[in-house]
Amino acid sequence: MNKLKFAQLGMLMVMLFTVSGCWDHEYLKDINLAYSVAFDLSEDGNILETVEIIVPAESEQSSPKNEIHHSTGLTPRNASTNMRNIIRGNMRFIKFGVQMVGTELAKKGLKTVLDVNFRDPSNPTADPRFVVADGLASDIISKKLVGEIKIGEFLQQKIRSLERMGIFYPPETINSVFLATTNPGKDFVLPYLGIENEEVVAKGVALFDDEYFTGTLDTNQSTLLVLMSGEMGDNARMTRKLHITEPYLVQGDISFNLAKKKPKRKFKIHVHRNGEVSVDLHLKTYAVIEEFTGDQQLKVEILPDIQKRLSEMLTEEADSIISTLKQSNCDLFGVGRHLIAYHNKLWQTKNWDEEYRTLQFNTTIDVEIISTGVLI
Amino acid sequence: MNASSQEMFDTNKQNVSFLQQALQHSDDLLVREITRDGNAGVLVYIESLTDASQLEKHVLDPLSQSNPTELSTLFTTIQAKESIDLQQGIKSLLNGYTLYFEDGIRRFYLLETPSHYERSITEPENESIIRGTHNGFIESLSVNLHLIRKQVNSPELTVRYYELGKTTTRKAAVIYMHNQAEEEVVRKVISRIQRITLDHIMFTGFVQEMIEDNPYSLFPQHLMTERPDHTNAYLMNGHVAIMLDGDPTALILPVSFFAFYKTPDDYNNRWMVASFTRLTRMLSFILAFQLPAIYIATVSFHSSILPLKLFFTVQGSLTRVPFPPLIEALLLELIFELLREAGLRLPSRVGQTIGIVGGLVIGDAIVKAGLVSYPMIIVVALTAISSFLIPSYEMGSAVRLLRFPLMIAASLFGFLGISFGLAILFMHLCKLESYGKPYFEPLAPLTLKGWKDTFVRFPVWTLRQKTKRSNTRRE
Repeated sequence: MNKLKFAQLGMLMVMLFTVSGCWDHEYLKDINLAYSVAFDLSEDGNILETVEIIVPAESEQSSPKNEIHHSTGLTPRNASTNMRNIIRGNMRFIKFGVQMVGTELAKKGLKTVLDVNFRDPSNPTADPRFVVADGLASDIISKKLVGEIKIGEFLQQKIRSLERMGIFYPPETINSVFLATTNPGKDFVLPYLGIENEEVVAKGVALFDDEYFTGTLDTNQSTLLVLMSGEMGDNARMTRKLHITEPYLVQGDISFNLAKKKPKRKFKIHVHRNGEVSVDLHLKTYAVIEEFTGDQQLKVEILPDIQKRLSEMLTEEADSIISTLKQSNCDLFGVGRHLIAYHNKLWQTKNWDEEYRTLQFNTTIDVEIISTGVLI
Repeated sequence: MNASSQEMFDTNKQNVSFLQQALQHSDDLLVREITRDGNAGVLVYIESLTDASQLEKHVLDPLSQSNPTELSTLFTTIQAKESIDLQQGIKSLLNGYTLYFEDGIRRFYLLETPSHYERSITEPENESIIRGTHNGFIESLSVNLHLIRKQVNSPELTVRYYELGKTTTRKAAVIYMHNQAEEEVVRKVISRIQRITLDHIMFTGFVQEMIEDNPYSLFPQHLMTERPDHTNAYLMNGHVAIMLDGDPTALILPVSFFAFYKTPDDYNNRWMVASFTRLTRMLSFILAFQLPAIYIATVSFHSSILPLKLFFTVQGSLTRVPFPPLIEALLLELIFELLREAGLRLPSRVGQTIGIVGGLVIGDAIVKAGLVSYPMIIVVALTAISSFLIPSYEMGSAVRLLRFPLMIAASLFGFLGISFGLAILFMHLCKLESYGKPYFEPLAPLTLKGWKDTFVRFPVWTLRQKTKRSNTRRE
């Protein structure tokens, strides 16, 4: 009797390993890795999905290749399902690095493309960068190779280096973008890439109102915008034309870096008794002069004048950035959020989309030169 | 078989024939009749166990002297006892004694004339160290005790002899420092040893299995060593050693899990170096049984944790393998175990051939043939090396065995399976006891003081001698 029970137990153990299937196995060798993905609006109003799939190398020495596939569908998930009909095997997004959206689709809102990717637990969301492409995003993915590098890897490296340069900062991932679209009162900007002369270039940042793409800033502006929003990459390099006549003549192009010391930012939202709102944004930046191409020798005596001139120029630029933000209705600094939190009754009476456009911003940017390197 | 005692008979002839019958008329049982002072005497001894020169010098020479003396003072052997019990005579014969019977005396003499053939004291091959004493135990208990006593010349060193086995008896020694060892532990050891009822004890392993707390556990609960210095270090710390005559292995108890990861080298190296090597060994413990499981779980469930470049490389070499990762791993582990076992039993010259067959032929060809992937070879090789890093052979084997259940768990449930496997393993380790001492100390129960000499080795002056316990004991 005892032996019988023992035998039964043994059989049970054997059966546990041999008979039961492993329902959630996903062997590495069976995975077709989608590394970058682009969503566009097709001409008939459907979603056009473009995927870069990495095909493992046939031998140890050669490197993996990539394939580009297109599919359409009513929704992103539908497009992905159709994609699985096109490609062989199981397409997985488990390691994907870049998600791109074309301008037309971005204008119609990001939630459609974000929702399913954000909610599927097997998809990574904290690392993949979210990018807006000028025109059709599938055009960029369809380049397939940039030099020797596969397009997905290229985009990933490019975005990361631009983040370090302080052109896009902070890094916007699927996670952060999705949360931003669901948060009222604060908007966001996304990296904006495009194709120029057959090259993939950074065109600046795309401005968003809620979830809708509404405008753009160029790369010069975006560098300053990063500093104005209180963030800082590793670098914030700018080059400006300098023209000073008093007391000396100083004329030439000057390059400086504003991200060597953290700028001091004073950001105040004033709510007046009559319900009007105004915003003060004062930025004290510290510049390191890196290059000057003029004929004149830079002198210590002239630095205050250069500082003054640069401050004027940057303040002017900041004003134009602010006006673009207002036109695009992109509340990047979260003024609306502040009102929701501290002046909720006032907020409820306001039509913020209208009022933001006429909001008064008092912006000043001070530049203090802290180092000139070997120039002086 | 026989009655426990048998009184001797009246005549020599009867006695001799009784002995011959008891020893099955074995051909190496020699009977030599002599005459002393006109009395007929008989010497009985087993030729193969007796030292001829001792017999001649201490027994035959005195007997042939003409002047009559009292028999009890005649023999010059180290031990000369009198007895009337023939059963005791048989026992003594088998231990190399010579028996002397004489007509007219109703007792016989047991004369110690054993022969000794001992190998020289060499360093044990499986426990070699870089610095420190290079001697090791041999197959003689008295020599082994000599090695211990020579290093520990303390009056507190206590040796207790026990006879083990029914058919053939073996002498066992329980060795401990009287002022250091805990009374409770010593009492437990002795009572367990006395309760061993095996017919014959061939190896120290028999003793170990008979007296350990958890014979069903995978983990060894006695430290086996052939090094006198290792043994002494433990004796001085209040541990107990058991040695068997004819076996060079000392069983040290009670030991904790981490004792198996210490070597005498740790104390000869500078403490920082020793700490580093010890940490490496701890890492090897983790690698030795978890690495294949982690690899299997990664490639079958959680491939997203691989960095991108590695992802492609691993995927590239996996695509050519037709088996699921578990089968692939088991295949390679099997090959490795075959090679290891084959290399172990072969003379070293043929062993090199095994190395070539294993390393070059199988290692490379198996990948080219598409049976196993390169990453798997790296994983299994690393695992194998890690398992050999463990100073104790017994623990190394245990850890090597441990990885198979973990591999199966990983292939069924991925990292979740590994977590469950580890949970069960650590539960077992925490529950395990060795003679009432927790096996997983100083981790469970957590005693931070013990950490000074567990994962790292603090300088010697900070490792305070254990005087406290001996003081309380003395009172």
